[in-house]
Amino acid sequence: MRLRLLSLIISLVFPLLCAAQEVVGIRGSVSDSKTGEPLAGAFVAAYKSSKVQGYSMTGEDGTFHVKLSGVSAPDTLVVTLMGYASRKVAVTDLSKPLTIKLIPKKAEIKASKITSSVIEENGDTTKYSAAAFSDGNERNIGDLLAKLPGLSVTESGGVKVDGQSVSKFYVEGMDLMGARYGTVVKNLTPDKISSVEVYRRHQPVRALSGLVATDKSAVNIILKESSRGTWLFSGGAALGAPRFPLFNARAMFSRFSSSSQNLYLLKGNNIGGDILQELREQEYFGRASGRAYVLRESLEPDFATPLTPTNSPLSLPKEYWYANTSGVASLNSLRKLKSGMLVRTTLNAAAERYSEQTASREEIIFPQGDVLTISESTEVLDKKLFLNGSAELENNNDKRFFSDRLEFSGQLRDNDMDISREEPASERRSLPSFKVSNNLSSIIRLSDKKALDIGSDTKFFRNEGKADFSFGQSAFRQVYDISRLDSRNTARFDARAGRQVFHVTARLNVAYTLLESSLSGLDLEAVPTYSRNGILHLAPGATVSTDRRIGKSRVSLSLPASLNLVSTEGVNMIYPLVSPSVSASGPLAGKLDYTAILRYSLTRSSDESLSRAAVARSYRAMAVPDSLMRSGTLGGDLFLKYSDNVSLFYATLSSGYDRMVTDKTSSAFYHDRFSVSSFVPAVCAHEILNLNGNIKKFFGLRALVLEARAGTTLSTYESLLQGTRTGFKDRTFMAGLTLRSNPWDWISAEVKADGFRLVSSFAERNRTDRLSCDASLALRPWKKVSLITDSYLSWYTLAGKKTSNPPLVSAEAVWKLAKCSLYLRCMNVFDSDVLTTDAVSAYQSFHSSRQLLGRRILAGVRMSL
Amino acid sequence: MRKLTRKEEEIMKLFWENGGMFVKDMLETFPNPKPRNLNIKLFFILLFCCGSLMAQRNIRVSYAFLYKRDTTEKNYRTEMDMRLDYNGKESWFYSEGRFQRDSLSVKAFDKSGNIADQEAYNAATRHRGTTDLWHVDFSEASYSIAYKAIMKIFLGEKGNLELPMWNLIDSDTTKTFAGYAVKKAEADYLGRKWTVWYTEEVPVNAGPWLLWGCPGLIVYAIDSEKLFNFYVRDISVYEEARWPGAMEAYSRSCDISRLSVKEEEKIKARAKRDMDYFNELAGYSGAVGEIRNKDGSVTRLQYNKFQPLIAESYWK
Repeated sequence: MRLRLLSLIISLVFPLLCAAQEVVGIRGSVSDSKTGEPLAGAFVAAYKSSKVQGYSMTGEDGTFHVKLSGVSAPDTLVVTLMGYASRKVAVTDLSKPLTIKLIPKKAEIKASKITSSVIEENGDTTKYSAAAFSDGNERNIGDLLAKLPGLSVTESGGVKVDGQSVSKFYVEGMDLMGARYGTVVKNLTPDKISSVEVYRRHQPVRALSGLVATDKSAVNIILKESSRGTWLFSGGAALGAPRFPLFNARAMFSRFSSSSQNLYLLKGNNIGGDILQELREQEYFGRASGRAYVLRESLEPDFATPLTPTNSPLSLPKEYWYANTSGVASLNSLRKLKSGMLVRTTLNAAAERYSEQTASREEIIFPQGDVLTISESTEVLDKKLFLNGSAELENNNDKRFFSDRLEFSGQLRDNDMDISREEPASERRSLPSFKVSNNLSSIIRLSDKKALDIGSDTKFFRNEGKADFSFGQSAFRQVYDISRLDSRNTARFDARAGRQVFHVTARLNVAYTLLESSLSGLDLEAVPTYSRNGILHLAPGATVSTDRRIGKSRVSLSLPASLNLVSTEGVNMIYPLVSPSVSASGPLAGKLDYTAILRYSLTRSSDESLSRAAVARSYRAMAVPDSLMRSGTLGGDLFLKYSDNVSLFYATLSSGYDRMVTDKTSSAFYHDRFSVSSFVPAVCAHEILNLNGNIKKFFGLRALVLEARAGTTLSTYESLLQGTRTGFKDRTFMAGLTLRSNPWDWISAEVKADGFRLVSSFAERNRTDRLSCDASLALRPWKKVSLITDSYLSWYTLAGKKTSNPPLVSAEAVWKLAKCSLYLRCMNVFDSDVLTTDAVSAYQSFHSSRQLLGRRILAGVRMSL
Repeated sequence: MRKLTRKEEEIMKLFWENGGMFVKDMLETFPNPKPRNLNIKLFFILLFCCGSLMAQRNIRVSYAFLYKRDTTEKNYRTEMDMRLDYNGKESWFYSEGRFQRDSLSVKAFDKSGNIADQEAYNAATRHRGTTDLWHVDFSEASYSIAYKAIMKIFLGEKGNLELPMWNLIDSDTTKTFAGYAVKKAEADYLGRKWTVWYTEEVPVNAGPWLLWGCPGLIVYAIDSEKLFNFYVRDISVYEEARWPGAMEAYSRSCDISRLSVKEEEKIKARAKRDMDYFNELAGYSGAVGEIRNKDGSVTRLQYNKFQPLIAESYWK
């Protein structure tokens, strides 16, 4: 009976179970038609006569299962996914899984009304709409960035936010160029840009996020949708005369997507465009900062030696005076291997031929009142070949950061200088250099409150400088050959306890310098002319630092200290170095922020100061390095910033004070033929006090931008001149005003005026004034035609004697076509051939006349595709 | 993206057809002339280097939201800055004025939810836009509605996201809206009859409020009573998700009651119509719903009219 009952229940329930298991639906998978990769997140909807019957989203493996509610079977499936063209598929057989391939297609987002404001603030991120600040005459994104509030751009393409170099420069969130991002800033055209994001207090290492605070900023360039992930071309070519052929050519292919980025650039000119500087390393994340004394001409700071010649730059646009023939090639590639992991490779090559003609008069005023006057005219020819390559692997995720960068640089440089004076002189320099370096950093986030950071920066470089000098009948040769192996290793531990974060760093720096200096062909009494030194420098050290939030402010305390052991040629030295500092920053009231720093540092001059042999730096200047100079500096800075993005008013006020006490004083001695500079043991103090202010107000973003700046510096220092201890007091004053206006589309104008005064207390005669004025006017009389003029005026006064320079004017006509624009440019319209400048320093005054590049006409085409 | 060469394409096909295999096995299955072993290895290294070939795109759409509190009202009330953030899996719909200012609320509150910056707090809370936040999780087929009464959030959650049964009305005449070619669709959804226009040019299945499921972005929507009206104002596409998570910081300062959507909608409708009830919810006591006139008399504030987007008849 029981069995019968059971079989009856089973026979009744079983068909129901079967019906329940028979789920009507459509199964299948969605993949990329090109790569075959399964696509997750695609929306699959089933329709019967245009009426929706069911839907599904594809899973991570690209599969879907559309469960159908209706009785009638659907006839169409529609698959949609952002980044792909929608696909309609006819459904014929429900039992067979469907394989649907989607074709990648960019969504055409059309410009409709813009609802967001031109400046959006979101925590530490400020986003600027590019179009709102552009007047249409910017050649590169550097010109555009310079117009954004709080941003400035250096001549070499370095970007600064609130006066501080950015630590990261991203395009579409990825850092393609590393520290040599000037190439992007100077070559990417603004028509590709949608907006610019500025990240303040940006921590690029994700594993340190929320643990290690930073005061550095980063900039992210956001491209227009149509420019993302696709190859972009921008370039141009121009020919001109005199002297034929003048040329200016540029071709850049770039592609910025979220998985890979490339930039290939080839450019050259002989019209005064200093393009080599774009390859210079900017102050950047992972690079040692504080290279304050980098020579302007140097692409690689480690290639600078006492023999490196210093050119004298003029403060007017280079197209008037930079007599060059330059070429640059830059190949850059960045690939994302997986989330957070990327490989960056770069190869840069540059070549330049530069010439300069100057007539100068230099007056040196001695304590006794005598005046030494040196008049000479100089012709310089400088030839440079530079090659640099690097490969970097970076893995940046929440738990771990790893980065290794291998880099090499090489440079061949020849510099010839012919000097005409009573007795003619010449200098011939040959300066080959080579460097290879490896920079390793590994950071592990141990827990929410702890992280470990291990880094090693090792480099080897060699500078094999040789210089032949002649003066009258005598000829002599200086060889300065330096090889240096430098390894800096650190291990840092970061830990947070409540609101307090502690950092403890252990450091070991090891350096070996082999220095050979030889001066031949010259007899110097009591001064050695040859030395060969091997200098071993060991510096174990430690840094203890901590930072803490107090109210809205962040207070940091840092105490780095190291013990230095230097050994060379029987001399062993041990000396400590310390540089404690305390800083506080945060909002003071409302929109007013402050930063205050108090610091002390005890430093020594570089190991090269132990050379012990005379080094002829030029045909009439010699240095005798024989000992390390110790200097202790106590200083403080106060920086106030007012920033109001609503009323678009910005103001900064900065002041600083430094007092440096050295155990040795620089001494200059002028002999009949040479000046010899060295350090002599005499304790002296230098003081610098400065105060600078700046206000900027935007009236309607572009209608009128007003910027006013003023500052003063007071410095006092001591040195020995002709064996007499002499004190100097310099006062500088500067004031400037910039007005920029683009009230209507057809007109845009900018006027910039700067006044500068330097008064040196040493002699009444040493006072100089400079007033310079830059003006540019761009008119667009017709929609496709623009007329642009730039002019530059300058006046100098030296000891009451005025010098004014004729106006330097350039004019350009641009005709915009559909895919390109044609232009005709006339540089130096009035054919001014000489610029006269006056300058003073402690006990010297300079009056120089620089040969300018005359009137030239250039016709060309610019393209941006 | 790099295009595959013919040989590379053949390798890919073999790979798809035969599943995972070693290079030597692949060489065997490869038709003559066989490629060099090294070439295959190089190809896979290259493929690996390319990384993710197409990044997930995120979209941010600004909508205008026009609504009436009652069918008797003549003119629409407007919220011009509603915003949709969609990352391919989830969408958020909220008042930009209210929640983008929540970037300020990140500043305004500390981690414990206390007010840290009064100025930022004032700026963040001054705006009168809607405090509602609609969140849809398409992958989980769920949605939630957050309604905020001063410092309390009533979070209505529902695990079943209904698909509007769209009837796609294809017509020969091409219509455009905000520069996009649009198509019409109709559906009965959450108690109202909706007519929408969507664009296949932006292939996302999201839309304003809880409207979704068309074969393209919904750029215009109106209900049959003409009480509610959404239209697109601006569309942007981003590589990274745009939703700043500001709600998280904002909500830290609030009490959150987790409810069903039905309960949340009921509370909201009552609070919108009854100021005393709203005050009770917000924890206000006393005569907040009253105005004392100059002569000392008291005028009680009128109850507001209110029509919710999800029709009340839907819950019945």
